[in-house]
Amino acid sequence: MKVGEGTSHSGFLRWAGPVLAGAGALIVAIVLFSPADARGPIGWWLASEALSFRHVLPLVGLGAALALLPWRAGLVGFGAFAFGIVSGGYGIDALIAAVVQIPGGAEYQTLTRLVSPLAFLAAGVALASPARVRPYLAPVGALAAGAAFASFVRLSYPIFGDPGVVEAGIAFGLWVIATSALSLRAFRQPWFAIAGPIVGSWFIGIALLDGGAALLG
Amino acid sequence: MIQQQMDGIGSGFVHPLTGPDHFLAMFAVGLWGAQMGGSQVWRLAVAFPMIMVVGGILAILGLPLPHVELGIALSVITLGTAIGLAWHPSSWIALTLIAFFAICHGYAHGTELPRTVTPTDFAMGFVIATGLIHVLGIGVGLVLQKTLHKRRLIRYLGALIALSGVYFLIV
Repeated sequence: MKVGEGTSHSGFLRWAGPVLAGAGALIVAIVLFSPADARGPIGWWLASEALSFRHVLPLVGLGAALALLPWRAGLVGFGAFAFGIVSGGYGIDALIAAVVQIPGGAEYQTLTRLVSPLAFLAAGVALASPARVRPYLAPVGALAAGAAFASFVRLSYPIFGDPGVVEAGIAFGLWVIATSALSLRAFRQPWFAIAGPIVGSWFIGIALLDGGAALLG
Repeated sequence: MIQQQMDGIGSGFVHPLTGPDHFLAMFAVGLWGAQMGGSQVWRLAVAFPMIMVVGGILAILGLPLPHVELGIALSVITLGTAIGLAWHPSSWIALTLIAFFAICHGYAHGTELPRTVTPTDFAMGFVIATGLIHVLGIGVGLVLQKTLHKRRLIRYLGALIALSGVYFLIV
């Protein structure tokens, strides 16, 4: 089904993204402009960790990739991201447990440095893949990006020591994906099909360079 | 934190913009793609950043790549000449040519990467700037392609780019 087809939901869906974006941006603005001592751990986590280009940009890119898919495939992609972000939160414990067995601390550092490149790579592949392959690759990318974002949340969580940060992180990730996917889908233009692979190639470039710097630098 | 990120992205972003040789080569990639038309409009711009990474990783590894600056100057001359002559080679020839030059440009950017405080932000900045210069080249090329008279204009622009490359080679 195409956006704008005459169903009773089309008007709602057209404005769902911008409304969601506005509501979320308002909450974020309230947190950011509140006095420093009133922010709490979640507010601090949001301001100092989550609102960074390296974590938000891949999610926006993935949302754009989902916006380029047919409705049903887009929903599958969103579901894959949700599954990745929830399961990644648990899976990271096993990964950290394995990593800390390795002598020295450099490996743990490397793990934290690889989270962002993995998210960029997943979003980049989803965006840059040809249109006929994208419905299959985008959910895989969404799963990986969800797991990477959950890993970032869990790896930054001990600094703030509040379990609420994990729930806030999951909500934040889902909000960014849903907002960007719904907004871009609602105002989709024919040139998005060309812009998608171009921007996707940037993401892959960033991922490989940054990942390369983390592993080899 | 946000300020530090902006500094990292900013320094990466200005890196391709402050070097006229880098800028003209990236611009020429977009312009050439637009001149060739069809899928080449976006294919070269998609391939370039991904192949540029190879050069960047060679630099991160500290492997020597001799005569990088010569390669960059030659990229400006070659791409400018291709546009000036309205050369439309087959897809794989264009991509091979682009790949060689992308490695040279990636190497030059990559040497800066390990020195930066925030490599992710620096990489983001320079890859996005590179891509935006391609998009600018595509945009200018598509506008100039619209009329027969302006098709000649795009070729003059290519010749000017090639002459600039000769200047970079000499200076």
